[in-house]
Amino acid sequence: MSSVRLKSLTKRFDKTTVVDGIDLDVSEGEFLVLLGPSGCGKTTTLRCIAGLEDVSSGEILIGDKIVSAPGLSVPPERRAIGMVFQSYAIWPHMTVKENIAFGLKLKRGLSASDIDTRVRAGLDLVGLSGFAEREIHKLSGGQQQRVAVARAVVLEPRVLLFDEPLSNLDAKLREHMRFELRQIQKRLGITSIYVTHDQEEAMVVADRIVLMNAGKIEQIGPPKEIYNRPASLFAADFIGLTNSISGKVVRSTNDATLIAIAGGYEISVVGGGHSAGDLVDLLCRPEFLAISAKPFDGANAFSAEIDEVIFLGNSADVYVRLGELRLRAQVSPARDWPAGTKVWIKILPEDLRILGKGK
Amino acid sequence: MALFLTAVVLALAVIPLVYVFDAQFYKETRVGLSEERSLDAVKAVYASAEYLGYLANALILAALVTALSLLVGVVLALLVARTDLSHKSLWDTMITLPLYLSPFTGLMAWITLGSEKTGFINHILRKILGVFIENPKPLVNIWSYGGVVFIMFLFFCPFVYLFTVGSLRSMNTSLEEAARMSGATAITGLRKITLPMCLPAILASGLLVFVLSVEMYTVPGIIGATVGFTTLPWKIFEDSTAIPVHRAHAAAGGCLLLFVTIAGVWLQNRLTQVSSRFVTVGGKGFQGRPIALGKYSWLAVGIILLYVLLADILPFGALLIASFMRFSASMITPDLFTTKHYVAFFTTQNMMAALWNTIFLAVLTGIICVLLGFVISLMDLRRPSLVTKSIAFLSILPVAVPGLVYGLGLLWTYLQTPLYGTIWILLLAHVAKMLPYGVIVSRSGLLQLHPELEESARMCGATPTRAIASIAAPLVKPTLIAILFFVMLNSIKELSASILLYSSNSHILSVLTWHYMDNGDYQYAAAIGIIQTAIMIGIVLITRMLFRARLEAAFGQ
Amino acid sequence: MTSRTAAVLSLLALLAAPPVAAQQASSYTSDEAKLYEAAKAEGTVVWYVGGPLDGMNAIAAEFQKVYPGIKVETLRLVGVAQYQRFLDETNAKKYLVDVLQSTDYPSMVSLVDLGHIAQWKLPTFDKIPERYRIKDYAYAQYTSTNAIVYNVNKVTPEEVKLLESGWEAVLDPRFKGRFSVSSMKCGVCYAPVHMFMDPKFKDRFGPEFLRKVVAQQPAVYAEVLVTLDRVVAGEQDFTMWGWESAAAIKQMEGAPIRWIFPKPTPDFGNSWQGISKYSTHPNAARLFLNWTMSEKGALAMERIYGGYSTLQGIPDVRVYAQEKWYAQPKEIYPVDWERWGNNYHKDMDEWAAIIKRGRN
Repeated sequence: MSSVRLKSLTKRFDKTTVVDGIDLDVSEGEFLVLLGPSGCGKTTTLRCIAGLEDVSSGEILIGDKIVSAPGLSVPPERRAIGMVFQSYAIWPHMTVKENIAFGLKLKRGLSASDIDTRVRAGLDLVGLSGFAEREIHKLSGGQQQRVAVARAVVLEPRVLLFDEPLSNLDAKLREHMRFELRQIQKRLGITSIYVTHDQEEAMVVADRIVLMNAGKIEQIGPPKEIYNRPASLFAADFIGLTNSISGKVVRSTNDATLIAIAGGYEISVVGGGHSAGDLVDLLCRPEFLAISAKPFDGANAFSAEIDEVIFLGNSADVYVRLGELRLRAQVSPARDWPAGTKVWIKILPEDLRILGKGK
Repeated sequence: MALFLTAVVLALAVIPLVYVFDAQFYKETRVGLSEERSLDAVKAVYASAEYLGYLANALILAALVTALSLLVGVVLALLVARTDLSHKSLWDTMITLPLYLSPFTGLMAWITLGSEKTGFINHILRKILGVFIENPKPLVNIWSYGGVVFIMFLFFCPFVYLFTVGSLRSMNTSLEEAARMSGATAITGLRKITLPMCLPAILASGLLVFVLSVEMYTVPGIIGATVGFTTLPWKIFEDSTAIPVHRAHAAAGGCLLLFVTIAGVWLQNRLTQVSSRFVTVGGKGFQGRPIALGKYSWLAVGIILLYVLLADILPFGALLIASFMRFSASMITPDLFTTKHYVAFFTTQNMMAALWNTIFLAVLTGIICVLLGFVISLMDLRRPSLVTKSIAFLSILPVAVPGLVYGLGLLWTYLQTPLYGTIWILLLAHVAKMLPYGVIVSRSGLLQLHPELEESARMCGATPTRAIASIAAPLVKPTLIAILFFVMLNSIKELSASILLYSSNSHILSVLTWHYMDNGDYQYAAAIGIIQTAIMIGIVLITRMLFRARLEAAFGQ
Repeated sequence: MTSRTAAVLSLLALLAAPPVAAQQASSYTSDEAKLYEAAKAEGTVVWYVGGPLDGMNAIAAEFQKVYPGIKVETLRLVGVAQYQRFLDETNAKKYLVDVLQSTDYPSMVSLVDLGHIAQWKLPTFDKIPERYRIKDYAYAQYTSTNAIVYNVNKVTPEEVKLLESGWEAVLDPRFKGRFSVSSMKCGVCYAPVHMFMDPKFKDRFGPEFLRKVVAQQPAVYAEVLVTLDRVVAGEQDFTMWGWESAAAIKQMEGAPIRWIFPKPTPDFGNSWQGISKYSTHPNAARLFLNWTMSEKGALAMERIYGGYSTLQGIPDVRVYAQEKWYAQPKEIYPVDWERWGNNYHKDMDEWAAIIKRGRN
């Protein structure tokens, strides 16, 4: 097990900068997820760590050893890193066993029986005992992915990399495999870096999430923190759903702020330190927007009008009109209001976040 | 590695072609080039209605041949790959059989078959029709423009077939099935989904056929003179062999063809790049349900049989008959029968040596082209840089220049070295002329391979060499074997460069055949042609056994 | 020593090997037995041939029978290809050939002028007419005579008689569309054009005659031997562009063809042979050339190959010449080498143009 450190890692292809000066510390045994939309540089970052791409500037350290720097690159096969690829990258001309044993056979000092034992242990770990002699094209997608995992872990790597490992599986299987991967990682305790564009997947597996956008890190933190305290509009938008409302600070004390939004409404928010006149964005998760046919008491309660209700079974997405704003709420259990119904809405001051955008 | 490949490309392509390029700019003497520089040839070739007219003739002819080959080749491929036709492996073999015939021998066969008054076909038809009508008119005449297109089409159609059938077999047919589910008929499914999916492969084979037809001089030359049209390659042949020699003109004409082909190769590269977005072979291909022909199966079999009759049975039969005749006649009769050509083959001085040299060259050229082609394409695709891209591009160029012109460049390059006058210079020529197949075809094979397959081997601790040897090479093995087949067959057929470079201790069969043709001894040449074909089939069978792979199947991995 | 270093060293050794020094022309004996001894020591003679490979190989085999111990290696290089290859090799100091045999007279003249051919006076020198020699350097092995070659099943004896009377006979309406010509550029292909364009025949032949020939709608072949082959097969009734030695090979095989020599008949020395000045088997080369131009060699050539030897005063042993139908040319037209050299290109281009115009 080793820690991984990226020091202002930059990767350029021709003139496009794909990874733009990333600093990152991954501690031993941690499960870190690189999350972001496609083209944000997360896969390239992963491939740099793997040694499959050279870095343009900056450094990568595994443990305390520099493995990548401009003009220096420890080849991937000498980094003791395991990797699971998006395409599975299972070799179709070999059996399951041959796939898994491939790397073991390249190691010095392993006897045939050692290899056999470790292949079997690997297969047990991923729940494929008894599949050793199976031909690859006779496996399902999920089984192929398990072979890929087994192949990576039997080598006992210091770091394990996952490049969107579940994106080719169907939804049900994906959900199942997430837990399985997380469990395997916990059991082995290998430092893992996992790339995905699926925020739900990231939430499930990650110790910490690194949210990336346009080659830069937007926010780092445990899933809960990122969800509850998004540092940017992008973070709020990418992880979960959010209503963002432009407003202007009316007044701000140390622990409370009052903000004016379109339509003459004023909203109070917990937390202060803003100056009057600042333009801000107010973020509000749909599930924190309460709706009722009866009036609410207290702060941030407004009269509004139902615009549309989408029935989802155990819950409903409800869109309400507040003046010229259209806000999204999530109501559970589902309620059904006809469009145009007058309702009351309420947001607790502590469930709102302010993002400043300057004057 | 890059350094070694650079040296190879310099030695095989760049230096000889620079010699050729340079040769355009000299004043000509009656028998060669003088020391004096001159732009006469360049002006005469690049800017005269005469030469540009020859080029236009070659381009129009190539376009017709390509169109016909594409039409028939694609139809045959669809019939064999996507319908419930039986005897598929037989059809596979029969449709690709023309590859075993050199154009010169094939031309000879068709002269025997399709001459207006004495061709076997007209002779027999006249006998049959003569029963019903008086003095029936000859039905076919190979000495015509249509005859040229037809003979060339027969040689090139198998290329289109092989590429298309390969692409069809490796294609995921679920898309076609999806189209059927949404209400499309089988034919619409083929037209709207399957064919567009194969388009990159079809177009690539079309370009290959186009480039090879533009360069061909034998068939359009021999028949063209009788019909009254001249193509640029034939003009180059005349310019470089008939007195007075126009060597600078020939070099300029060769370069003109080179430029045309560079455009073609560039286009083909673009197309294979596009195709990489289409074709993703992750190791498993889904073979969908074949289209049931039902009551039309007789029509499908009829189409294939007609092709097999024209491309295989008639020419090979004619050649076989001719090889037992003492001289040309409209039909073999007992008093014409002789086995002396075959007897002579095994007793003639140099012939056995030529046989062994031919086999030696074919096998060695095949192996070298497979290895070099694979490595060059691999470097180009996996380590793209200016150097590797240039190597890949330059290595393709010799295919574009007529062998007569390229051979001269090679001769001038190696005249001063000990290689000259030995079989090794022939090896250089053959490798240079066939390497383009190696590079282009292994490129298309590697494009179908996901790079992650090799990367995952690296992550398992394999060195780059190990990853290639254990993963990439075995996975593209079918493609590599296809290259081996192709190169060996073409090496056995190679004539135009060899004829300039062979020496008294490096005779080869194709050159000897040519000498007998050149002496008008067409029957002996036919016998050597038959033996040449037998060797090709023998080599293919042995390779098949060694690698447990088939030429046809190699494309449909 | 590893095999790789061995290979490199042997390559270097090859590069460093000094070129074999050319011997002086004067030092060769005219005594046949001594020459044979010296030749045997050399063991080989390399012969670049321009004639048909089979015939030349047979002649070489005959020589090896007479002089065992000397191997003749033939390499067929036709016309200008041989000339260029020889010059390229000579310039690169690659002395691979001993005896050259060229089908192109001007090429041989040029090689003699450039000083690449060794002076060598044959023992039979005096029996060879001057127009079949280039000083005492090179010698024509046989003569080529143009002829009308016809298929015996297609042309009646009466028509043969008519054709025999002169070239103009082909213009007879009955021959329209029945014969062939060739547009190829080669020595025997040029010989008839050369004669028709002779200023001396301006009124009798000239371009006008060629235009009339084309107006007869002959088949035009790019390859002169296809022209002959099509007569053999019966596709064409006769060809204007035939010549004796080629027709003889087919006729001796039993092909249903014969030929006649219309008046006048172009005739020129062919198969010009000389010894490379840089020959590495100079004695074998001289022995070989002596033999091919000796009475025995000439008779062997006539018997095997059917060419008509340039050597005077020997019996005519050509098989077909003994047959009843055969008649020697009645009026020889010796080609004019000077005009040949000057006008070849111009005349052939004109001939090609006439064919092209006649088609349109």
